[in-house]
Amino acid sequence: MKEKKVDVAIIGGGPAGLAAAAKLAGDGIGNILIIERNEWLGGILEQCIHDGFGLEIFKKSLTGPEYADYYIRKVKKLRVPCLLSSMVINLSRDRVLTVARKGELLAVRAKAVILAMGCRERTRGALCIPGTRPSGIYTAGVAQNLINLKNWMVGKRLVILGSGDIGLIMARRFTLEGAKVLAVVEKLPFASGLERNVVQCLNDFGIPLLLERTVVDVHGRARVSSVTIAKVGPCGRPIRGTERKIACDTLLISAGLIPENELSRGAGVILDERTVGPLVNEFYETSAKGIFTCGNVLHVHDIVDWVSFEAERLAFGVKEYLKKGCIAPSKIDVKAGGGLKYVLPQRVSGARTVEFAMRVDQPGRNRAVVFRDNGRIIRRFTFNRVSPPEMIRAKLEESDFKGIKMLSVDIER
Amino acid sequence: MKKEYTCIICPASCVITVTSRGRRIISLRGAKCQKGIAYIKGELIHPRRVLTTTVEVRKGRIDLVSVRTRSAIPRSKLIPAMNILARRAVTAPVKIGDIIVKNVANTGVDVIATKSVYKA
Repeated sequence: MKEKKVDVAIIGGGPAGLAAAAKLAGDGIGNILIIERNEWLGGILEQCIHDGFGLEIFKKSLTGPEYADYYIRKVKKLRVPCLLSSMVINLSRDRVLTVARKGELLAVRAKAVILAMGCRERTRGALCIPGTRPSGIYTAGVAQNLINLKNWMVGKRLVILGSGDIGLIMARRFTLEGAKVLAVVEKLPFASGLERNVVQCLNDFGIPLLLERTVVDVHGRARVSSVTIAKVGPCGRPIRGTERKIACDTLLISAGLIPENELSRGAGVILDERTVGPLVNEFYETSAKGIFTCGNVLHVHDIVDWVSFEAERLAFGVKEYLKKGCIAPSKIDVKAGGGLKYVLPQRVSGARTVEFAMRVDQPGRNRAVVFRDNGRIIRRFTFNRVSPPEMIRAKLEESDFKGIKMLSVDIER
Repeated sequence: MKKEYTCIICPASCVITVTSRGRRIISLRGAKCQKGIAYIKGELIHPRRVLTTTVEVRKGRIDLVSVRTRSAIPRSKLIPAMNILARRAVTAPVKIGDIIVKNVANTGVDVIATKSVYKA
């Protein structure tokens, strides 16, 4: 096997990998290698042709490809080497990557590795939807890829299960392309995508959002002919007697994203049950020395801008590591308490300012995020409005960490 | 008519209750700032949206180029603009920012490419 030695190997050339590469190369780190599975850089942004990206970083609304273009240009200008059409098939704990490319296998030895593989969509199989197995069932992202990159219509009469952002965007996209979107069906009592997408993608076109309902059956032999939806009770179970059949030829599934951590697991990286991504410290280093991570493989983001910012903070950690050969020990555990799905990073050193990212489990108004050390309030941040689809960020200063042993974070009214 | 709007200007997502007669606003409650009020007035009188879609590319490395209206166009023009763009085809190379259709559907707004497509 051919061998290659690098300082930093970045797995994935999407927004996370690109921003990390741009920051590191811009700061003078020389020997970087981006390894990308696709034939192009930009990752999922290339198929996200809608706008709304970059409002935080560029203060204007860009489309996905435009947002990606900014970072691709930056990386090219800095002459960061990229291996395209190359897939990392194994990562070892001592940071040796096995890369499969056309006609060859390559071993890459890296001083530091950045996991930036992004996430995958939850499929029908993962949701265990009963019924037949006809054609016409797609995840929203696959449908997006087909329509936006290959010009293939996936159907004419669609039902969308799940109100994640991609599902909402696809409701508008297929409506504009002449299909009829009959309904978006959501199990929860609120939309799981951003409110602005509910307004622009559903309300604008009179597409009904059916809350507290789910798909309980799929019909059709060769092709989907209809789906049965039903109301769900408080525990998430369908309620007998509330079933209704909707005739359609296509079912799109937009029911959540899962960080893609097969490689991380293989390298022995410890994952957090809540985020399904690696456990990290404030330098974005995982439990495996020298293996760092950011972006959707770490936790699923609502906005790409936060991914880019996160990648820049990670770059600081990687530089520290390359300079000193290790990262300052992080001994303070951070626990997500009541009202939160998770908080990140899960461990901090207490030696420097840290920006935390978290998600609430319930929508609400006038809530506070409270940081405590053994019951003692360290800081309290108030928010007019919180919502599970939107990530919350809060910063603790270096001085806040004085004498702290364990940090807990809760949501309070 | 009484209707609830969610302001989409910023993440605060104010829920604004509007009572209107035709296009005349009688009362407006719930907006925390002036932007919200301007948004509602716009929504009631002339809602505008950015249109993003794709256009066929000939002799390119890929078959489609993603495009957008340079700025928002009246919502009522979305479908007419889609019909024009469905018939349009360009030949590679296309550069990001290239004008694909000028003054689409008489909106005064150009449609531009949002990615570059190289020759096959």
